[in-house]
Amino acid sequence: MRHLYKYIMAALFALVVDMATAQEVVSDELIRDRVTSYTPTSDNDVNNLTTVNYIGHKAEESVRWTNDIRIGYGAPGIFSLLILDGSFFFYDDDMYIPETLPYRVDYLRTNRGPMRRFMTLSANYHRQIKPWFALGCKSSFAGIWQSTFDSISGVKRYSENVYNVAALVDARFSWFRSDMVEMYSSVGLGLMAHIEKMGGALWPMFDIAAIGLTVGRSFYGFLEIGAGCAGSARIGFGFRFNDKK
Amino acid sequence: MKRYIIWIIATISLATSCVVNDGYEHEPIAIGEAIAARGIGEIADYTHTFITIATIDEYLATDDEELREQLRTNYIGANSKIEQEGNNIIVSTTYYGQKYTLHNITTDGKALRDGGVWQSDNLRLFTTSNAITMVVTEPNNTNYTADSASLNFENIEFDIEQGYSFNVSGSLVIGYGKGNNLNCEICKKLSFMDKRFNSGIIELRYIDEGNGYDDLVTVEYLDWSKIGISYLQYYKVVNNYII
Repeated sequence: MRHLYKYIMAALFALVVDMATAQEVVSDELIRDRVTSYTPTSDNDVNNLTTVNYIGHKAEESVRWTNDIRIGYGAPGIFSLLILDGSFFFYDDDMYIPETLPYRVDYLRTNRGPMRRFMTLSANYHRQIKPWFALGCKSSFAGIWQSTFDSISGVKRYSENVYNVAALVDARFSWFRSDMVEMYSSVGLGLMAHIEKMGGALWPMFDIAAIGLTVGRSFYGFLEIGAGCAGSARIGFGFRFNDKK
Repeated sequence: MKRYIIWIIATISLATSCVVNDGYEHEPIAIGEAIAARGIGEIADYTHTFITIATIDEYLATDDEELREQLRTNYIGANSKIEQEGNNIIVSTTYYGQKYTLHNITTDGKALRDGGVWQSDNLRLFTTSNAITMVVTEPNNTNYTADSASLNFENIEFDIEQGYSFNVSGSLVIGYGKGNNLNCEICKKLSFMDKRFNSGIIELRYIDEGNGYDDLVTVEYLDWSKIGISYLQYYKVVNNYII
């Protein structure tokens, strides 16, 4: 938790970067009209709208990009931390003093190196079914690395490496769409493998993005606030593209 | 392209900021201190067991009811009761109306001070020349090294105000697991006076075959009358050989 501010600052920094690189003027008239709910009134206007279907006077929105790939990095979230390193919230090395002599000697005989935690890298693929709905898969990876050394000789005795790998089916619901900005929520369900030297486990896992924001067109940056295997606050970038005809 | 580079840099910055714990380090001297503290505690425990049994012997040897009452309340316990039936001595206490047996001693019919042999669970006490020897024998166990001790208490003197004073010599073994034990050897007789050790040297060897530990620690008791602190603190680790 001591480094939480780093994540917040980095997320804000990433958001500013994305905003700064997204200041392009909307030049595509078709997109502009779609965003502003423009209704044509003359023959000239109708001729320009070659890809928009009309039902009465209201335009039906079409799927803009059919495929979406993204890579993100998430700050630690409660659920992912509990599974990866359940003792994180309740355990402090400085306060731990074993009671029995064998445990105490073993504890004093060892020095522990810094704990490095990488969490959480995620990679997603979604297929846009409707303009407001996409279905796809989400995968995530998180790890903790820490080595233990002999306090007298300094020789490394062992390393504790713990990994979480998750794969989920993910549904994304877009509730605000403009040319540059999209806001959405998503929910995913799947499995998480907890891997460590002493053994592992396979658990059901979920991931929710309560609020998600993308800025950009084909290439874009995103920011999400959520909970689950992908962490709490996530940032990243993605690429949208259509199928080859 | 520039924006992708910025994004990649931002992501890598996040990833490399993930050292969340600086770890910890221990000085080797702390190992010796831990071993010394446990060895001193074990010797003190056995010594106080001896004092309780010696007090029972004192209690049964006197007809002075006032002294008996002082011995019972000050050294055994306010709610304690000492009963002798033939060769059995039962020391019990009452706690919230429930009776608990503290000691169940079988004797050979003689007082300890008169050369009697007393037995209580895994303890055996008997007189040798001018000392009382207390032998502790735990049943052998295949899973751990059995506790054992042989301590000699010499020059025993008792004062109702100051309590017992005596010298202690001998050794004891505390078993933790198979091939994992703490051997305590009293190298220079411990002087026990006014409810605490006053001087003496003990050597402690901690062995843990499983982890490959074999540590030798020498502890010297300091003159508590000059320091005036609790009995578990007035010692110093003289040598700390981490093998």
